[in-house]
Amino acid sequence: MHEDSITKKIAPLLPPHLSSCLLNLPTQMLKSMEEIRLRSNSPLAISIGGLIVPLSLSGVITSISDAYIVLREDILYTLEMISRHSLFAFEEEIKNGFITISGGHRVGMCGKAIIEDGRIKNLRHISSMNIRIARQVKGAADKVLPYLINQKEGKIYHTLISSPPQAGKTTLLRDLARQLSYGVKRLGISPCKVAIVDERSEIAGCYEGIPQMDVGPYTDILDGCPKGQGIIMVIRSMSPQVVVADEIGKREDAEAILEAVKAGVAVITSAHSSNIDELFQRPVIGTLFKRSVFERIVFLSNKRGPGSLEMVLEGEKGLPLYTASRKGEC
Amino acid sequence: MFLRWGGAVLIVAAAYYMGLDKAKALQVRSSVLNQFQYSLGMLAMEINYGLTPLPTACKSLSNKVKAPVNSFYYSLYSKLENGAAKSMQEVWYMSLEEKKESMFLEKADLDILLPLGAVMNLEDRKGIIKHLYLAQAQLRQAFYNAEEKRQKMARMYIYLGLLGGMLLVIILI
Repeated sequence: MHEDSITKKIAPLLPPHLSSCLLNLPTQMLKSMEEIRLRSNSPLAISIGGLIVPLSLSGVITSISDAYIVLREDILYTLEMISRHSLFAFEEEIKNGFITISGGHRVGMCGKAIIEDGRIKNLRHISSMNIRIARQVKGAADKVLPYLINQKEGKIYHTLISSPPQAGKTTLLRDLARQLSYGVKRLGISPCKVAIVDERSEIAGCYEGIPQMDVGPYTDILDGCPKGQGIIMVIRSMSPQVVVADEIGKREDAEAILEAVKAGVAVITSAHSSNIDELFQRPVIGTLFKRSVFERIVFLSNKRGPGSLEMVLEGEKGLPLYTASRKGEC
Repeated sequence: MFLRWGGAVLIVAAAYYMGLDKAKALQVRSSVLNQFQYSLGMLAMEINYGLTPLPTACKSLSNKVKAPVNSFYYSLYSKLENGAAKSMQEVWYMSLEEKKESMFLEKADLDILLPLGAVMNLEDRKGIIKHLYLAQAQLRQAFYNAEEKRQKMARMYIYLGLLGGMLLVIILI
């Protein structure tokens, strides 16, 4: 499925020679590929298992000196195809540095920022692209889910998921949304109304409003909307039981989460951090901790592959419910 | 005798048809310019308010405007979706070249329409809209001129065809 998405959704957007290079890659490599990186006048590269490897035009891993050098025309062609020849329609996305394509994959881009009144107005002369391959791992939340549910009361805890970048926060959030939406029989949870506020189109990977990932039958997605406003909007309009949002960090996000908690809606969200101390020191997260908003804190890492569950903490007292080293439940 | 009169009728009919055809070309051009003027306004709306990607906008326009301009927009849509060209500029140019004869467009009309392909490649939405509105104003003027020409010339072409045919018959007989 994963490799199908690459060959059917990503390959047609690349110039024909790069597309055939991608199609020449062995299936195993396609399965584990995380990123495709195109930089003007630099080697074509893909990222596998956290390592960046240069590629030749025939689709073979090679040295930097023998790799295919990406031309500016290759970038422009890809940009035309990604934007469906309509850059104007993606002004807002380009301003944020990425476009979501069919299949839920995200294309990040860099170039020259055009500033107006101190704010980024647009990106011009786009010179590098990073095609991040979206991967749905169904069952990613199996291990953590029992810790996030109060089975006696049938309640879902307010949860914060934290990890360094690319350690599987979004994949876990997506699977939590999916499982809660379908309902989790073994834990006594019936299907829930879930709302995803997907500011960066990462969780559901919406393309033209349609989620490209399976996020469950009772999940509403507010795509591309700032989290602070979005959380309030969905609470008012969609009466969800669970709100899912990715990467909180602004004061508005914290205020919206407090509103959601007051409204009795379970909040599951995520934040970057490399360790617990760093997480508590972040101003917005710190504020939420002080007010004891989160009942469960989940830490992930890359130690045993992306999405390795390191620790689950009970929020108020900080008691560990699970630690990877002991694998013991308290 | 019968053959002679039969031939005369054929000559007059052919000449009349030629005149009619010329008059029709004037009428089609005038209608095409009007349709373009109308469709560019709709395209500007789609771009400005709907942020609609061009292939979708072109497909929608191909259902809304009259022939033969609808086939121009459908050609744009199919070429964009099939990846027939690298950019909107190329696709726009290719489709106009393909359809210009069936739309009876003159050089002055093409001078207004051709540059729009490059305009669509702009990143700046406001810039595209300004260019579209400018082209719309130019097309409006071109439409008035074409209408004036049609009113003056269309009937003349029909009469000229009919009378020219009759004159040829008289000369030949």
